[in-house]
Amino acid sequence: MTDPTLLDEVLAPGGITTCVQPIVQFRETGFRVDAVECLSRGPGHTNGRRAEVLFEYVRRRHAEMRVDRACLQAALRAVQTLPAELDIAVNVHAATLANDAGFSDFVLAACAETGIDARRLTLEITEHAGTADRRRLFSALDSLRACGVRFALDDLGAGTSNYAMILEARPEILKIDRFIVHGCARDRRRLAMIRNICDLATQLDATLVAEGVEEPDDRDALLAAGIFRMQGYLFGRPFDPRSWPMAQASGA
Amino acid sequence: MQCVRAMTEAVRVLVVDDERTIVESAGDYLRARGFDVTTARELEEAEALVVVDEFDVVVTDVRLRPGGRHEGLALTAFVVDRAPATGVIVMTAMTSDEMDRSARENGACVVLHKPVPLPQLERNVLAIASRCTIRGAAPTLCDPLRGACGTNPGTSADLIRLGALLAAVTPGRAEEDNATTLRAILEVLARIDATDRPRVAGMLGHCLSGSGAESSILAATRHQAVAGAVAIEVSARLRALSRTIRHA
Repeated sequence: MTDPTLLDEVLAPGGITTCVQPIVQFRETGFRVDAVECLSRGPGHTNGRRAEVLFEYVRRRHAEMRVDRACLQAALRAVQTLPAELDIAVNVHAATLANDAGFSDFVLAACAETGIDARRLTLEITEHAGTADRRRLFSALDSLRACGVRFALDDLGAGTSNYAMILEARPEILKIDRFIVHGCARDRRRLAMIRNICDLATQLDATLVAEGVEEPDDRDALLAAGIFRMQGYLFGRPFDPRSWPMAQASGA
Repeated sequence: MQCVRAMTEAVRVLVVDDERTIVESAGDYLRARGFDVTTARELEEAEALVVVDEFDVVVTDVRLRPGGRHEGLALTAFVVDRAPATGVIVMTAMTSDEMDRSARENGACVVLHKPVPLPQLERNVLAIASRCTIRGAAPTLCDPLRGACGTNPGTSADLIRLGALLAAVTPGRAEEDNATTLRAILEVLARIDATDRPRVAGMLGHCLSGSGAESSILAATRHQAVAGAVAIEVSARLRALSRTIRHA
């Protein structure tokens, strides 16, 4: 009998664990957590415990569909006890949306199983630059949108995002890559890019979320530029959703 | 990849073999000797690790899945393309000139035939890692020192260590650290000089001649009074060794 592969271990029951990172919204009274992004990890004793290794491996094994299903299911089960006013963001490969014909039904079934309203769910589309079958991708988006699911494109400003995808997918949310955000308070070029992105989002009726916010002065620069939703270590590191009440009390 | 690092930083090794017992025993052995070891048992897992992390050396079997063939050669070519500063050691149970040639054509630095004694694996990992370090600072030392390795184990280790120490002396480094490294170089030179001259001393002198190692350490310590003084002494010893070959 051969040893299980990393993929075998990831797809085994309990192979995926979910952490959540808060996404905050700035209001007159200050920042408030109004969503969480679910972050998946493989088994702790494997190289898959690091998300960047796990998903690079998954893509090389062409196993995006199977793993995305496992991650989504694990994520929704992990967050089902979080306050109902929180929105839930889960990452999904563009290839899964395009090629997994049953994925829409799977998402809705997972929502029903966990009692999570599909209108709370945002699917963040990753690795979309090389998507071959855009027609099927956008068909999947329309199908899920009809049930209230929203979509986000992340890494805006990094190499993988592109205007064609933004135009055709019409995401409700655009996430600005941390490369653009980090240090923007002291870099006029980064600020210029951020202002351009703000204008673009306004024209496209999309909400912006700035990722990777770690410094107070970057936070302030983003607020001055008109970005009021943020995510990053300044507002809280990823944590086990089962510790939610304690994380809230500590300001995470 | 930045090859020049302090001598206190562990050599980063990725060991890849589909057999769990082999990858675990090699990993445990190298970790116990201070290497920073990551292990993998699949081609795709190893590729993912090479994409995400940096390694000084990748050690890989040729066959990486049951019923597989030459996945390790594909990994070798991938590493050479993706991380050209990383050295690759291929291990194989197939003892044929054709396999050796194929491994080298894909970019392997060394081909070892199974079963590979773990001390032999360690020596080769260290030699490859030091070659990488040497390349960062004094490229012309690389090939001659490679040829010097493996003759006398003790002297080989000193030559490897010497190359790494020379490369570690850099302008941006703290003066105290440069001075400590330069004193260590003097100790190694004294040991080589006392035990294995004229053959190795002459070989080393041949390596050093025209390598730029002397000028590199002098330039690095130009503004460091204490380290600079030791660098002058080291430079004098290196020049003396360089003259050894002309008088041999």
